Amino acid sequence: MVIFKKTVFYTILFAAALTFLYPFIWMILATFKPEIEITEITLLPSVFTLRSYELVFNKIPIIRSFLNSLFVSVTATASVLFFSSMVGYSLSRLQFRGRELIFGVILLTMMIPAQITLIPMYILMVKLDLTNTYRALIFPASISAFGILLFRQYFKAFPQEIIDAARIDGAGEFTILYRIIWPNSIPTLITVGIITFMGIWNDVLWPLIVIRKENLMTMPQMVTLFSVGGRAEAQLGAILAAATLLAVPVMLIYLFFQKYFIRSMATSGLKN
Amino acid sequence: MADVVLKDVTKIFDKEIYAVKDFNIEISDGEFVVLVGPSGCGKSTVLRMIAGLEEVTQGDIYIGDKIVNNIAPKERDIAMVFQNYALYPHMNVFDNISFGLKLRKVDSKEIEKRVNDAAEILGINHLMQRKPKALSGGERQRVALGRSIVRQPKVFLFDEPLSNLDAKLRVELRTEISKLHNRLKTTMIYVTHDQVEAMTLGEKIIIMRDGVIQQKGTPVDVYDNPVNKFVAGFIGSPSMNFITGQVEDTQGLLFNRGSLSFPINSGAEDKLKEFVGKDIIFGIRPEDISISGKEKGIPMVVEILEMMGNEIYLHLAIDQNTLIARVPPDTKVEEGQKVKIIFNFPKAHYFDPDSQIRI
Repeated sequence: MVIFKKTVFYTILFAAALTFLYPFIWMILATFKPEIEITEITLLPSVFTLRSYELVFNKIPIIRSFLNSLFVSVTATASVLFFSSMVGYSLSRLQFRGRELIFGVILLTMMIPAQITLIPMYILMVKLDLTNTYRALIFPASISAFGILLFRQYFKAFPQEIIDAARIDGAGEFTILYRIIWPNSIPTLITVGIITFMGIWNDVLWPLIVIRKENLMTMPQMVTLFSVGGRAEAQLGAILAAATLLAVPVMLIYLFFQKYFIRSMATSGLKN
Repeated sequence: MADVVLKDVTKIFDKEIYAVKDFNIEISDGEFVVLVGPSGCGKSTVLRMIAGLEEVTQGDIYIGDKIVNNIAPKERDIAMVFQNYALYPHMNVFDNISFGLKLRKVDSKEIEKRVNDAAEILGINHLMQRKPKALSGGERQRVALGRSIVRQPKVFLFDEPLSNLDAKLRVELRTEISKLHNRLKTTMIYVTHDQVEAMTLGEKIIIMRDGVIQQKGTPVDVYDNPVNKFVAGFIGSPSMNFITGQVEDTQGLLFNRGSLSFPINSGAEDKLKEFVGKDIIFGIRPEDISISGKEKGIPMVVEILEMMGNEIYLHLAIDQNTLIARVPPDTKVEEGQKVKIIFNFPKAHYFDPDSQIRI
């Protein structure tokens, strides 16, 4: 009976996993097929070829866009971790007038869809003369309400005595946050880090609006323009190859940190 | 090293809750003072105000001759040991102990020397590379002690440091803290709800209740001369027995409580005269009750007998009245046995039932 139950259970899990994985596996394998085979039902290529990738690398500065994306995402993520944890700390641990109000306003900003602020944001960037710079990509993403919320909740559960002990030991607020609390909040840092990184890495709309110069374009922007902009010459293989290149870094990061990520998701809000 | 003085210190939470009220103490340099009281009596709040972790609503706190009300904890030159150790989980023992010194930019050779000296005193040299997670409760608290010693502060503050330890370790570390005080001769302020710790450690003890000081004095003084019923009941284990009864005047004073009535002959007659016809509370400690070998005495029944090894606790009853007596271990009694008891009247106390103050 137990074995039967397990079999059913794993069959369902396997089927579900397959539903998610199949398109992805198909995409990756399709990039190694000759163009003519892509629309066929077979999964494995009859001849292994890198032509699709060659096309991508020849047609667009994909490496440059990869480096742009990497620079923007890493900088913005580091900034989110730094600033959001600072705000999360003050909202959870410092006493000051209007603290709850400020927190409420921050929560409120999470409820406004990004599309609504898109145009005002763009105008702001133009007025600040930031269009066509990395700063236009980094500044708006350098602090996040979601990060603040997550840090605040986690820091609330941090033992007050340890903070008191550090204060008596001579630590100021920055030392307490970055030298005492941070090293004990690794899972939360990783969670906020991954979610922020993925969000910035995958964003297409914002870069499309503020970046026109090709040498500043991010990878998703470049790949999108490549796919729909005609430069792929309607070659499905090349489009898929570009999409694969785009997905790989995020996947690697996720695989590397997933242990922490899941642990943090499982314990957030429960820790005492 | 420094005196610590609290003048009319009051702490109000949320504009209406008085955690501490008009608190006045003078702790002289090198003294070991214990603040004791039931949970919620404000003793920890007093300590946290001295540490600077809690703001003072009214009044002044002096460390040395400086008012420290608005001085940050790190500038007050104090060290504090917490109930749950409060070690930094990501640092090993050495880093935990030396963290405060590093922040104060002490020379690294000096740090090493001080940490080693402290570790020597506390017997934790072999644990230097371990993380707190890999230490037992007793070891953790030793590390926490080490962390406060190396700073060489003017004042040590202890907030129920032994409460999370088992009984044996508690005794062990208690002696350790006593030795530490003898060695360092620094002012120490110790908060506990455990009256045994208070009695054994303190040179002076301060008993608190509902944010107000009930009594201060040496342990012996507080034990022998409690100012009110609360102090009398709080200090001593098992607690003092209290019986409410009426004072009657029939050829000398008589304490009347039905079957538990006896003539008052303790030398307190003069003070009690004005209570004739009124209720009073009679208090007697368990060790001041003995079993009479003769016909004389108040008849009672042994309900429960608790053998402690070195002594016996007898739970005595007659009608609705119960008493606990502490008698030598060789006393020949059994549960259910009828006995006659005698009070050691010179050690008895009388309390006004309205004000609860000792008469």
